Amino acid sequence: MFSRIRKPTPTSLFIYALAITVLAFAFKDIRQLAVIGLVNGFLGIYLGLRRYKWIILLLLLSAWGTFLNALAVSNTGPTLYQFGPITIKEGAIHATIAITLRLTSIAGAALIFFALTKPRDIIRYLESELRIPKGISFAIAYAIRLFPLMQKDYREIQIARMERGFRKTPLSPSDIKSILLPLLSLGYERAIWVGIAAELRGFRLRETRKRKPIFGIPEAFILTLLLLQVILALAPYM
Amino acid sequence: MVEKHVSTRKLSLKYTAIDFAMLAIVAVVSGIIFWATWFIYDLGKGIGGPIVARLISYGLWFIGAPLAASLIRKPLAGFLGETLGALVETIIPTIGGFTNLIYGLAQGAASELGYAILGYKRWGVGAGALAGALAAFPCVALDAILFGEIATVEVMTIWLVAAIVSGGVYGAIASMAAKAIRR
Repeated sequence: MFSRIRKPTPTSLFIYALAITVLAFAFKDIRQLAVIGLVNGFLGIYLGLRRYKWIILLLLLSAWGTFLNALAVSNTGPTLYQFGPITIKEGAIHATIAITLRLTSIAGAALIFFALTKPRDIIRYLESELRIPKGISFAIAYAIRLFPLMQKDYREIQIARMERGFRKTPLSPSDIKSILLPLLSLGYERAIWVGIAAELRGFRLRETRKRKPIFGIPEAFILTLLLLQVILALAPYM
Repeated sequence: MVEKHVSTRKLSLKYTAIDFAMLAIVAVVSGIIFWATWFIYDLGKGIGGPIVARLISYGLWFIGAPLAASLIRKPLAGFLGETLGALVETIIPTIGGFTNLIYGLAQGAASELGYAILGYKRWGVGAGALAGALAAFPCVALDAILFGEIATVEVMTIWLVAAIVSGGVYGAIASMAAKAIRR
């Protein structure tokens, strides 16, 4: 039954993710941040965890880093814990929770967006509905197409390195250089020929098809979700 | 005698499909580097604290502009390289989500300013280092505005200097890489 329901358009999800990002910075109170952090964090992880597992690792690393940062810059107010020479004050805990919730809501909104859209659709909608210039959308489209090609190039470089007796995984700066330079060089050569081919096929003459944004039930649902979060976050202050 | 990386050709704002394809290459490479930099930054912050984190990672987040500008050598290439790199980083995605785009736009504009100051005539290692270093200013400012990373003037100055040094070094490296592949 659910498979028949149309997914929200990339434009509506893009606006939703952008609105959540703005709200994450506009809200200063922890209760407000908790509303958008929990809603988007849970939804984003539920929808995107299978494809983007590393986000969890990044969030945990980030929370730890934020705590250390908060110890350096926001360690004010009454003392909560004392571990030898390290004093943890209320300000550090408050700042850690606030920034982690902020990051969770931003990452969650981005995960919702990317879990429900395909890169190709994103470009199509950005060009036709949000009117980004065709050159930019061509660059983004080509960039997305390049991912698997560059992955293949990377594997070939790895094979060449192994055959020459070097390690497969780059560890030192010279390893990184010896992988990055051929990757860039291959990409550069490819870009020239792709560009020539596009020009010969009339890239300059191509006109962008413009259309009005679609607004149906899935888009109304996304808008309602956004409004609900704003109302819930602002309710205690009304 | 004209220095090798001082351009004498007429300034052109006209972008061809080849330029856009090159921007795509820069966007993918820098987008992947930006994504990996989150791990370097968070590990650096967790182990060495905020100064070490800025020193080892911030410049990596600024390389889109010097890489694109050194390869394409046209006005706005730096701005577009950094912004599209940030867009690819957002698409991958990272925990920065759409914040990456805000940073990309601001850092790209600052780096572009570096090339504009030089009259869009120099695209070498020095120009790359300047572009990378200039991106540190909006980056540290946005850290303060968006993430509340505000400390005393002395500490903020150290953070800024660390970001400038990192940006300068990685900007120079990006320009050298571009020089190596540009035939």
